[in-house]
Amino acid sequence: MFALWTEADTFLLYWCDPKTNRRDEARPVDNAITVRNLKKTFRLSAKQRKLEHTEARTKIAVDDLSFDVRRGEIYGLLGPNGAGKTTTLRMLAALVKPDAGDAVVKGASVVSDPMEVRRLIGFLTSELKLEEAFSPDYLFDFFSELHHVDAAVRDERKRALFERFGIDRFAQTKVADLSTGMKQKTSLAVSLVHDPGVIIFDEPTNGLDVLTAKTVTDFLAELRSEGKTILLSTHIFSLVEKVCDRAGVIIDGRMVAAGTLPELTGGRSLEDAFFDLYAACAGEAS
Amino acid sequence: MKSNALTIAKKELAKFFSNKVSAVVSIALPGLLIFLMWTVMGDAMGSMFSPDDTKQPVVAVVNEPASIEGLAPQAGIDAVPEAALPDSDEMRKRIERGDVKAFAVFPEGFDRDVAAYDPASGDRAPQVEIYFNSTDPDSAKAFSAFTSLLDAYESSLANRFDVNAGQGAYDVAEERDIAGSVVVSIVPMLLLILLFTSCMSIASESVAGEKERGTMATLLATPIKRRDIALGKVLAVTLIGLAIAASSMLGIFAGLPSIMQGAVDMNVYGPTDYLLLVLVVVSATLLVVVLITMVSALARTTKEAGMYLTPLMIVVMLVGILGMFGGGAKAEFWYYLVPLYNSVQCMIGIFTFDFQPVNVAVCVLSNLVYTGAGVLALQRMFNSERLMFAR
Repeated sequence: MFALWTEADTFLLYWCDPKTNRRDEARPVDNAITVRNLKKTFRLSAKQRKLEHTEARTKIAVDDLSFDVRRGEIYGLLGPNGAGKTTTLRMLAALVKPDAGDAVVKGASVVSDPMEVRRLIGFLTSELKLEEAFSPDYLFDFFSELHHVDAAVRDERKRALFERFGIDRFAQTKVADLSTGMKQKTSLAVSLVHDPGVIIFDEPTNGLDVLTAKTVTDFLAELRSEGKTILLSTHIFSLVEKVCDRAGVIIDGRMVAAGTLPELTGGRSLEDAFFDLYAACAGEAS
Repeated sequence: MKSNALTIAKKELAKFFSNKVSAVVSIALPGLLIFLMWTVMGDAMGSMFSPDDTKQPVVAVVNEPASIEGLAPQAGIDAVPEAALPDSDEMRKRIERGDVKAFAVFPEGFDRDVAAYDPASGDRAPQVEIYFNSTDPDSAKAFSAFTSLLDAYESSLANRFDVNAGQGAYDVAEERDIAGSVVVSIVPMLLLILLFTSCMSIASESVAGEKERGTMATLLATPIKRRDIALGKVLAVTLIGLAIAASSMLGIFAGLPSIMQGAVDMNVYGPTDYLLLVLVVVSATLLVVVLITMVSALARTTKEAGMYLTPLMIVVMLVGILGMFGGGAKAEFWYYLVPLYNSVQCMIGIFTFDFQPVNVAVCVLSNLVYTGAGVLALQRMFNSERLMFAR
């Protein structure tokens, strides 16, 4: 097993002996993201209670969640809608605070140093929108300024990313006038203005046409080859099968299984393995 | 890190000016509308209530006595004999037609009765009836001229004393007093309301609009302090608000002489007065913007923000109206600590040349302190998951 140590405000993960609980100094685990016992509860409004047919005033969105994402890998969080994937990613992006537990992104804690976490990561979710009144060119410059990216570096990065996604032809077009795919590509480019080492994508191919989805999927693989760490959430099995090195299955806010794809599937298809897990969880719940 | 607030402010301004037509209309329209409306209204009122001075009033006189027949031409009245008084409809028609502007009816033997009348007897004095149409400026002028003629005739019969008969300037009011009394009854209220309504849509769009469209979350995901987001937004909306306030003030000041028929001369105010006014307006704008931004942060959509802001708008209007009936600027300094009301009091003081510098300083400083507190509150609101990500 491995365990988390805190030293001089940094988190260190080492393999440790379960009997003595001593860390093995020779075996540090190279994690980009370490999640330990994350918990998040939301208060439900009267309207939400009515919609969800429940009397409960609170809902546990994420319940004691722990997992790690190793440096340079693509980790997929797989789960049905409402499983807690987006809430988990929001906590990891330091947008919302966990009620309990902590997560460490490249040494920065989402609880004690959320600003540093935001500086270190690139975060993309369909819920984060771009101002429609601006062009991709303006938005790239604006977010670069917020990340204090040097103008020369910014221009070079913008040129490369815009060229990679074919945004260069629409660089001066208002976002409002772009297609859904081009908007998503612009969001992707903008989330990478500061060349982050860790990238968190919430449903990166959701709602995209097959061509744009392929561009995004290919780009994820490219980012991995550049040594970036990617954590993505999805409910699309094929995406996990195609790009993820490891994956975790979240159901009702809990991590019910995690590992490499062969470990998860045990020789079956990912879809079959997932539905077995889901059925087992539903059986436990009833 | 201050530059982050400026970056946010620049972005807000760029967004506002991204539609240049809409931006120019938002800034220039309030002032332009006031100026045009007041100028047109002033002209219309002028032509409605001013008689034609080139025409001599014509009065139809029934039983015209010899005494009046001689005096009328000297008074510039064309008195024409009339056999009998027509009925009301006929009188109205003839006044409208313009051949006669008033009708005067003297009792028969008027000169004789007047000569024989003893005021001490307690008997009823001889009566003269003058019929006119008060809504017709020429008819009103004829009435006034004929009444003056009769007054002059009466005075010539038994003049014991005169009032203000000479050419002296009997009204000791200065032009600036007249201007002050008129300006305070309109400007503070109008300026405050215009400022609030103009900033309302821009600030609610800047906060509630961003939440509604999901662009606020994008901003919150960047490594900048919530305080910088709050400051940047307040700064940008304040600058736009000030541009609108400047346009409104120009419109008000340029249109006021027209609507007041030349009774107000805005040149009575000097550079110091205008400088103090700018200080008060700037601090009031900051406060108004911070209040609107805070209320907008509570809302999930711009529509909801509009709903939440309505009670605040009513309060602002009431504060503006209160200033109209306060009877001059308050002297006690604590009035200048009351948000919004302090700015109205300062404007009243400046416009009536009755301000105390310490009170203006208290007003401006307290507005700045309230704005600072508001920015801190906004920072907390931007940190609130419930407010920023509520559905």
